[in-house]
Amino acid sequence: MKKIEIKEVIDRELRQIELKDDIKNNIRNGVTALRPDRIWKNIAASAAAFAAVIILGGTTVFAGYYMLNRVWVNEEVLPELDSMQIVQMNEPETAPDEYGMIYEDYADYAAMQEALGLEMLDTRLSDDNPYMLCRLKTDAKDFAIITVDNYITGDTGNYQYMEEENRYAFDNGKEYYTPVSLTADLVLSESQLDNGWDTDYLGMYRFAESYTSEQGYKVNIIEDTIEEELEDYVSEKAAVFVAGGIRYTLKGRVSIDTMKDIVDTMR
Amino acid sequence: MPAEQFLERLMDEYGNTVLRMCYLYLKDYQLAEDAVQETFIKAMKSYESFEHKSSEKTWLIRIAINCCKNIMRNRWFKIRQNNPEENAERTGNDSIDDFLEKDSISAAVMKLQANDRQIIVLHYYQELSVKEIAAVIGKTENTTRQRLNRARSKMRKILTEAGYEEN
Repeated sequence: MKKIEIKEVIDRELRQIELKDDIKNNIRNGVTALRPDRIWKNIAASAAAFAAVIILGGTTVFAGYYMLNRVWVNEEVLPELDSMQIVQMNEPETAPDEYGMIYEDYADYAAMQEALGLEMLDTRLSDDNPYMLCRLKTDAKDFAIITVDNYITGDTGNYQYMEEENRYAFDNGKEYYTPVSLTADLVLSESQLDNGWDTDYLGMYRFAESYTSEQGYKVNIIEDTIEEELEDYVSEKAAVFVAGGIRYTLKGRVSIDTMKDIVDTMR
Repeated sequence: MPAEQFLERLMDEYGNTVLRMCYLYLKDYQLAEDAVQETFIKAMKSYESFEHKSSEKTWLIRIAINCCKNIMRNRWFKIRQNNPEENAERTGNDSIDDFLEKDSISAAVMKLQANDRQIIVLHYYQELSVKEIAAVIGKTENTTRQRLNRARSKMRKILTEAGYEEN
């Protein structure tokens, strides 16, 4: 039986299963019951890696405090990090697209910092790494998001560039099941600072722990729970912290101890 | 597009297939309804920041699969799955299962283990590519391909036993 036939057959077999009006109403009610400051608003732009969602705020006040730099895992608010601050950044050379968004790729993290006039945290663990994929997304007005894929490769290996997909395939390592990526969130304007910048980790995530790094950064660690029932599963960890007013997220499938060691090298 | 209109379009376009997928995966109609409600609510909560790195469909399916997994991790779900008769008595809603013939494709899918079921539903019912499935389940493409092949073999065996001819 061909793939398309299987879909047709299943749809026929399950034809009585339809999204009924009462369920639709529950959804509508559920959506409107969500806090209005986190939905139904025009958000300039933000980043999402599937379930990990960054929400650039449009309304500031919730439950009596300013919604600055909050990280949520599903419905749990994580311990507060240090405050984000306005960062001065050179305007990128690329012209904005029709939505006013600028995307620019750089050869590596250092080249990106130089071009944008930024001084950001870095680690010796990323030295001599030709596999970084460094990209900026910004509206050049309120915010900028920098992502560096394969920021730290650890003991992963056999990197092969897949041109069509603009990414590297790699072999898993023992300590680093995957390379560790870096994301940096930069606030560029007073209004964005006032509006706040929340991050939601939705679905298969849980808050692992909060601690203070050697350098004194307050760090939240979040991990995925996708295959936690598997004995040898190395979950993806995300270490989120703010330094110099910039929010950094290191993400990769490594142990919590390895992730903490990495954070300690970020200078 | 205003959010209300967007939600209506999302429900119209994907509502039935997401509900059916959740049913095939969870093997429980009521829980599938719970999962689909949670899926659309979470989707609306995060849509504004959806960056279109994946298709809208893949993004929504990823949320739905995560909702199903959350439900499956619940201790109550495990008890419920282990006592299907008791469950049917309690809920009084086994009508969905009644119309499913024993040798239907859907029944064959539901005979698979959860991981196999998941990947078969994503590939054959949601018609996702290996790359898209890998993104949904958070695995590498190689691992996903291997899993799909294994699941496909198991599915083929069940279908053969049910009298389907190999094509």
